[in-house]
Amino acid sequence: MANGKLTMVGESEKRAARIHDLVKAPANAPWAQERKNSWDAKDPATVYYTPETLADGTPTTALTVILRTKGCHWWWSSGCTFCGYFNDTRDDVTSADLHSQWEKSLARFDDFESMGMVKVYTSGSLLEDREIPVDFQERVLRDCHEMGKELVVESRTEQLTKEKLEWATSINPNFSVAIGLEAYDDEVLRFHVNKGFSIKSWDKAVENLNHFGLRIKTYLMFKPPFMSEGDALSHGAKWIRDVASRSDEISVNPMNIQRGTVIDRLFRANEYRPPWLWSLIQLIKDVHYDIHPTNSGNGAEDQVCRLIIHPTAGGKVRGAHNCGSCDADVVAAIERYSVSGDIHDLDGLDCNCKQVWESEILLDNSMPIPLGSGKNRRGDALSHLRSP
Amino acid sequence: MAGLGRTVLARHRMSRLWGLGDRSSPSSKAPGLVLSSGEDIDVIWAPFSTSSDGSIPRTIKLESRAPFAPWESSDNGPTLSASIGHVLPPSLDEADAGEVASKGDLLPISWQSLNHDEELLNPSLNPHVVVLTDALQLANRPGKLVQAIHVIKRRFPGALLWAPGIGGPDNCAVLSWFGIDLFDTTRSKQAESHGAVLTWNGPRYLSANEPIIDHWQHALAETRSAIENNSLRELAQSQSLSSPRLVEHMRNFDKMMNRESGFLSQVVPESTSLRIHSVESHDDPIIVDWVDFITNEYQSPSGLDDILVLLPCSARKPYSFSRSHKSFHRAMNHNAAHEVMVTSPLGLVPRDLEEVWPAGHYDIPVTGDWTQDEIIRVTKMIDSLVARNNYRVIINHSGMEYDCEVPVIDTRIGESATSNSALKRLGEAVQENMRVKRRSGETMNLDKFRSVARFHYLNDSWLEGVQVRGRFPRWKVLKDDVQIAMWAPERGGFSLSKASIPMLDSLNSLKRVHLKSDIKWKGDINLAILESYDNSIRAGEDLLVMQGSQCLGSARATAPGWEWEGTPGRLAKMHQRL
Repeated sequence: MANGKLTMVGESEKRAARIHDLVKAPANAPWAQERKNSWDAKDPATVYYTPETLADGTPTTALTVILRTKGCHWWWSSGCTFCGYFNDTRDDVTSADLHSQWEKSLARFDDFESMGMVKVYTSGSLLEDREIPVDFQERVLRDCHEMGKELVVESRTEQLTKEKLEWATSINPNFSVAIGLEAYDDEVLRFHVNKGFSIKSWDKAVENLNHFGLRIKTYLMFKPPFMSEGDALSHGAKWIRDVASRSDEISVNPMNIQRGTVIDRLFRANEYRPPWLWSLIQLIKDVHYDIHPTNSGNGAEDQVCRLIIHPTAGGKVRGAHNCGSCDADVVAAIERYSVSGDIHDLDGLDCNCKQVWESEILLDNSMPIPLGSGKNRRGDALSHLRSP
Repeated sequence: MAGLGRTVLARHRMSRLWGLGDRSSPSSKAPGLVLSSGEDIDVIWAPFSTSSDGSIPRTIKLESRAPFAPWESSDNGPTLSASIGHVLPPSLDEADAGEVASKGDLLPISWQSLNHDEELLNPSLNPHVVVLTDALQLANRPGKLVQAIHVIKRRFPGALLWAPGIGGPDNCAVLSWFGIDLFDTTRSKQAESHGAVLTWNGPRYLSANEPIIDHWQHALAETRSAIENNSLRELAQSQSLSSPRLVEHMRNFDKMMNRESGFLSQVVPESTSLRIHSVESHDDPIIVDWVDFITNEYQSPSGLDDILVLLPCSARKPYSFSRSHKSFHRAMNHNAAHEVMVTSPLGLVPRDLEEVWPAGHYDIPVTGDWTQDEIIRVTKMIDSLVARNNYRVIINHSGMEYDCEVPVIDTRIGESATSNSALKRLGEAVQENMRVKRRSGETMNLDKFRSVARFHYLNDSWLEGVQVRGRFPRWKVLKDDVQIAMWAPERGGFSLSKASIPMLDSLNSLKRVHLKSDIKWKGDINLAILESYDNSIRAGEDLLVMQGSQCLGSARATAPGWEWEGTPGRLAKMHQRL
């Protein structure tokens, strides 16, 4: 037993890696490096617009600006298991680059004239001084406030101190902060997500945001790695209930497979499948009356918060998917619900594969198969059913 | 902690038929099923049920469905529980998840923990049931499933092994062959959700109005019976054809087991037959072990190295009892040639070893055609035999072409082995070349006995200067007029007398097991009295029983070496007590 490693299987000379070593490995792969060095830091990664709803419920158009940055400080020291944002980050991005990206975005969309909302995403936290120079933070806060656009920024929890928020609200008194909480469960945050903060840290951040009257958007991850479909469903619903009253909006992100991530590695090894769309439907049904007690829709008086789900790559095998024949209908229903908040938008969905999904959930819940009992959902069922 | 009453009722290599509960009348058996809530299958097929608390990480429960600890309580029990810890998928095996499963009577294990959890090496760990929680994911990785199963079996031979999510009526013989004891209905339910059914032969859609059949009961019945009859290999082999993965697992398992020792049998019940009906069986470790022995260790009886006669095999075993071999003997009219049978897949079987397992018990389809692989294997074996002996002439009556530096006389020339002209040529070749005298009946017996002793035991020195008396077939072996052994044809080996034990001890002719110093040996050898053992022990092998430096007698191994680390119940049976 060298290095205290076990001898039950294989060679044991090598020191065991930590999960985060595996998470980080792909970022140093030649293809990732090549891609990383291919772009010009003067240009933003992506700028696009989508239909959205303002805080008061009015429909609008939102512009999403994804900036190329130095990345996330948590990534520098460790990193979340599902994170693929390292593709849009590089150490040499300067403040001047960020200003240039911002200006180009403004120029490309007529100073955001037709937009009611602007989302500024940095593959990290906008309010983290180590990642984003303070002068640029200020620029974004100020420009949006002066242009009268609702601003959404993303952040981890540890940046959202009273001092920082006091400063930020002195520039822009009314913006939204989206926090990638992922799971309201310390075990999951630690083991499945490797998030680097605890639920206590989120509790504190939310308290601070409330203090300054800022809007709170909470991202929850649906089916993190190393988790079965059954666990994802029962725990996902619980997390929504846990954070609903303290969030203005909950955005559930069904896991999708991004290139070069640990999830991608598991996916290719047949050890992880993105969630079923049926699970998302079930999730909404399970929590709907907790957040819309009278089903009176998004923006209604008695709504606890909004629940939105945009299944990235929905219907594709690398995103949340079903058998392939019902996917488009189910994705559309989920999208409709995210806009309306009306549970009846989910009525009438059915497919033969629903039984397969139901069976998977039951088996995951009853059998000690922590990585899940699920099989491929597409292709010849009999060949999937053959002995493993 | 409550105990789980379990006894090995029958065994075949890595698989065992367990009786659960009262030793004399078990209320259930394994291989068997673990049910989940809402399922109801008779307890004789399904000894356990499971449930989980749904937390992360999970705590699981395994409940006995009958009183499996009857000495403690007449209620159903015990109920075992465990936390399965955080499980990283097998593909991330270089990382240490850092949070391990609980350690107790119910022991969850994953590929992760096999790589990184040092507590598994703790010698005081003695689980009743082990759960391989990522078996389903391991099955996707070439060779890993059988490796994990095998490592667990050798580390915890006294435990039942459950591999959730992978068993089905279509693979339970195969998985039992690897050593899995407990299955569940996960895959059957998955099939059901697709409107299909999982049968002995894999998944298929139900026919219209097809009556409901319990495929699990059928499969478990076949599997349990095959373990009792030493025929699980054949059953597993044929079942594996329902899925390419199973064939891969079988091949990987053979490959792995061919590097191991302490799991084969030396002596089997007389009725046992090794049915080698497909080429996949050619890599069965019992065959590879034979080929290896004949090629590298076999030593022909002294004085028989003048003329080598290669003969074809016969369907009847031992060959000598067959009509064809009686014809060969009549034609040869001499008994001092070294007769060696050419056969597949064993390759070569010398006459002096024709009665031992497996040579005396195998069954193969014969078409008269040899595959390239068979020809290569046999040629290599003859080459090795020729190299290690001083044959002057080789008379080849086998029908397989063979050529080497020693002159070879082909007495078949394409004709049937028992045709008059071929037999005539065989007789002439022997007459023309034979220069030594006939052997006496006693010498022939002794040559055979010494050869078998070299095969079964550590040496044949104890047969130096003995006489053979009595009559066929139960010959007596005497030394200074005292019987030291008897030939037992039903064993294809010896039955040792008490008088032989001090000789075998002083000549170091048998493997030894050592008993603890403070006990009095009365009968069976089991864990409670065992101090150390030789882990290459084969089932049925004769062993010297030692206490310190004193030899107490001999015993016959009931269980092969791999089980001796921790299997409850009898490991060997007393045979001679000094």
